[in-house]
Amino acid sequence: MKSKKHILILEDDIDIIKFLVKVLENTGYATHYATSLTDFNSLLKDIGPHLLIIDFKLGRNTSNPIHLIEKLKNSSSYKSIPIFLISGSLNKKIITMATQLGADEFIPKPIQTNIFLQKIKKSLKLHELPEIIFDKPKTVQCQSSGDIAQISESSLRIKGPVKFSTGVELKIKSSLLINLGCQVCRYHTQSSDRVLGPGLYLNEIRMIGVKEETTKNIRLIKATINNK
Amino acid sequence: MSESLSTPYILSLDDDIDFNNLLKAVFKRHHLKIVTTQTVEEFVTHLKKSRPSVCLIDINLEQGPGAGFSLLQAVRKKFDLSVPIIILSRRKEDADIARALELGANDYVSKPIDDAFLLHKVNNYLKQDDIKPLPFYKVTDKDSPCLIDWTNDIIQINEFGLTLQSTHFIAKGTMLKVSGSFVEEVFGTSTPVKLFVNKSWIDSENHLYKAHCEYDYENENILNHVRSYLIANTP
Repeated sequence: MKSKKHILILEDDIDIIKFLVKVLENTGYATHYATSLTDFNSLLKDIGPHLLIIDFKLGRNTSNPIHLIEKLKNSSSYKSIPIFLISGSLNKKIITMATQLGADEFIPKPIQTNIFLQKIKKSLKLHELPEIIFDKPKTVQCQSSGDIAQISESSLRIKGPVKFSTGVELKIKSSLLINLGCQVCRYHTQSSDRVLGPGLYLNEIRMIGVKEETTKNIRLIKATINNK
Repeated sequence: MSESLSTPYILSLDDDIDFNNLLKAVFKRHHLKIVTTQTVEEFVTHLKKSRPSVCLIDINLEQGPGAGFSLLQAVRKKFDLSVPIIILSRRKEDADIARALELGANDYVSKPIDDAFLLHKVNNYLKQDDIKPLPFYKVTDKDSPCLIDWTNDIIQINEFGLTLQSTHFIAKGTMLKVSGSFVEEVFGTSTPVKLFVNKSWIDSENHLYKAHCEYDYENENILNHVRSYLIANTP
């Protein structure tokens, strides 16, 4: 599955919104719309759209789109997002002005669906969201599941999809370890030289700070198995 | 005695002579060299003279209960940061164990000692082949599931996924959950974020493993946040 491209629409005419949403969603895009500048700004921040469609002739309650385009194109964050202007009037002066400010396409009403979609497709191809490569890596906590296959008084052998390097501290959550009384134990990787199958490794992990009571409990595991 | 300086040896500190004799007997049986000391001064003198393979330190010493903790701290700070130290103590409380590990002890063994257990613990640092590992017991399927947490680096991110880098190899097809302050910043949630490893390879130049992970595409909320993050943070 691939993630969808998101398009944010600023338009105060509900019929046009309905039309745009239908056409775009049918083509596989995700759409979001705002009927006021305030909603538009908060959506812009929250959804990180790939493309913007703005009605050129908004109602009185909305400020002039020329200012909005100017603001977007001067913002370091948003300047690379393509802007499509929709307009009923084809006033050349205004078109020139909007284009100069950085509007990427001018779509006249009534909208010709095929041409409109082609332009959207082309524009999205040209404007992929940038990737970020970190010079200084960001540290995160990772978690995967595993299976404790064997236990000794001082070590665990855990099966899982990660082959851990030696001498690293891990955190292990398991009901078995809680029942054995390992609340203060720490876990250090020892070796992981056994490959059990494709993408499955056996990691030997040293338990540190094992209480006497815990070692007794571990020896009882053996007894339980033998009795059966 | 004319032992060479390079002979691996165990250095212990305990104010109880009987216990020291017991330790000597246990290690002698396995032909391991141990120097037992009774006072902190004696211990430090030996530590400075020749680096032991591993130290065994009691917590309650002549200087007072808990004096072993102060020594542990001092060794970690002043003398030798990396010398392995195992705390041997009659104190069995979780808090004592946690404190010892917090202060930098490599391990903690409670008294009265179990010979085989202590030998095994010491041998983690001596690596003698003739000391047998402790036996492993099979864990039933019911008891085996566990969750493993470790730290990893993120080196690249785009709107479809991210690249992890570490010394660990994460197999293709692995489901991961990531969390932490950076995850909160990018995905706008304190709940761990699901990732699916779709490619895994070795960066042989840097001796590191890399794993490319996809986001959970069902989760619109995190995808929205990633795009917002990318838009706002592109250099």
